[in-house]
Amino acid sequence: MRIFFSSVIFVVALLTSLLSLHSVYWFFPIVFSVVCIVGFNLKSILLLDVGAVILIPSYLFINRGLDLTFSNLVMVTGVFFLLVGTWIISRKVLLVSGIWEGVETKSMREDLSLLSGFGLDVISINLFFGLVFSLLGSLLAIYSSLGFELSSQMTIPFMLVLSSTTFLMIYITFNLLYKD
Amino acid sequence: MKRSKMFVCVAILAIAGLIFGNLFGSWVFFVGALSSLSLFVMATFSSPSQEMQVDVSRESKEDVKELYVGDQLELSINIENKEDDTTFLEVHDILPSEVEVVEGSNHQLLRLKGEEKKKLDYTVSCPRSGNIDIGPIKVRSRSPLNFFSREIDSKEDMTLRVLPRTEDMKSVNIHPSYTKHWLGDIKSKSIGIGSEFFSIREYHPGDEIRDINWKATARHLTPLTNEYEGEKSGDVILVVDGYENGIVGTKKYNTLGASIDAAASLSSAILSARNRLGLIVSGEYINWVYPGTGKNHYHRIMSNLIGSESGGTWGLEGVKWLLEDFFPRKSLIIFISPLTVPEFSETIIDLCRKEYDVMVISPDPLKIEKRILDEYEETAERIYRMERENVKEKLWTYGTVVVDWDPDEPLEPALQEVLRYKEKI
Repeated sequence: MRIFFSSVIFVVALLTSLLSLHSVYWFFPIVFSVVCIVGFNLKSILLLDVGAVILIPSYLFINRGLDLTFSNLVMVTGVFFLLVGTWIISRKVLLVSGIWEGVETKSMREDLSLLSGFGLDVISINLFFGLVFSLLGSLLAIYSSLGFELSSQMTIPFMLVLSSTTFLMIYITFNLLYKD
Repeated sequence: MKRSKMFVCVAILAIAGLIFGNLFGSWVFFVGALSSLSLFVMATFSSPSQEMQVDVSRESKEDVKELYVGDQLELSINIENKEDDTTFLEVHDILPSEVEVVEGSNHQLLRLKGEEKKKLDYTVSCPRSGNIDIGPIKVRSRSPLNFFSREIDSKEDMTLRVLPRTEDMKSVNIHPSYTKHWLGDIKSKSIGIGSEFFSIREYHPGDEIRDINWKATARHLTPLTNEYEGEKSGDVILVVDGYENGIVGTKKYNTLGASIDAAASLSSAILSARNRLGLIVSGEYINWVYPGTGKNHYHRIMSNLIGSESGGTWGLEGVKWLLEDFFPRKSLIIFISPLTVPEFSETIIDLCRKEYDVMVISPDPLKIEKRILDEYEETAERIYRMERENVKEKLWTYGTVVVDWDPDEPLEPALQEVLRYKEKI
């Protein structure tokens, strides 16, 4: 299990590096993924978090010079969510494995096995919609730079819908956060 | 709803994206910040916001609240989901560091369907005596992205009284040199009330009829009465040294723990010989119990022993003052001390000079240190051993009986050997 997840982290980092070969710093994701792998193997969530918090900005840093095109935007956002998804699932695996050691009864082990799978669908849906919202938001913020030529009749409703959706979401987030 | 470390990390990513985006003038960082923001939005939408409706309670097998050091106690946590939906809960019964989990786990994850009840069993053991607080039970439910968690603390606190390990010391005869008038088990070498025959004398009016020796009366044709050896008892005072600077060992295994075990074993033996027993524990505070007898008194002594903690405020000066001003004179004083602080030996010698009958039981700190450490300096050990021998010899010179005791071995043989040696000399 540990070897499998270490390999997953490494493969994701390798993929990230392959997509960043145009930069001289292409090896950064591979180097920082080692911190995550060490943290994962030492069962240290802190080290895993530190590795992820360095790895993700390092990926953005090596791609900072990319031209602003739609394909680049999809690539950057897609890899960002791939890294975040791997990070979230690794944390979950660590949490479950930490508790697994003390569990002896069969029913508890069954519960833990179910927990390992529980939420994977929810995580995937969340990440997918996160990616969609992020792309929409990015498009809203930079659509003028992408060179779309929309008529003024389309531009105004487009702007209004997207900006009101974004502000509504921010409002709902804060509202829910401070409700309790 | 509590925010987790994951929440903080993604917030850092968002802020870093904004800062670096401005610094490098790159759209990539802004996209990163925006993606982090969209993650927050999704995490907030997917996390349940209502209060957790769960009932939690703890019970121990046969409602035990008292156990001996090393005994095992089975604990159960009953948990019921009052909601209609299936939920995954993380249950953590907070245990102090003194408690060891020997079977099962106090930290578990479980799935509960709507209205379902479950029971988590685990067994604990306590390697040292004292009053131990168990709980509260923390129940946590995490959101799928692990950004938020809901948590409740059940007020199911439980206090366990962990009594020191006691040893059966029936064959050891510890008795004070000075006896008092009340009945006991000590042969006083004078005529009185007892069970051992001493002599025959002429009958005096008022003598018990059952004491008349009928055979001797028939032989001498005059009434004769049996006389018995008086059996009396005395006062014994246990003094436990809890001076922080003199304690050797770890939190779980140290000289104070060994001293408390020894004091508990001696208390039982001394009280069963119908002596009056007093206690002074010099540690964080001076705990003291005036001499008394009986079962209730034994429990009082035990309560004070398990409640004692090491400390450095009171030296033996406070103990000396208590002994001289409050406790009966001519008592047998048993000091239980590792003899690691030189001032203590001086105080003991001082008490010997003042008509006190003094005995020292010293748990060997070197034996404890050797068990804990993998490597030790042989020369240092030899020097310390010599210093310890000097202190012991000095105490013997002043009439103190010193028992050097290895805490890993039973106390009874060590005590018997020294008492036999004392009788010879």
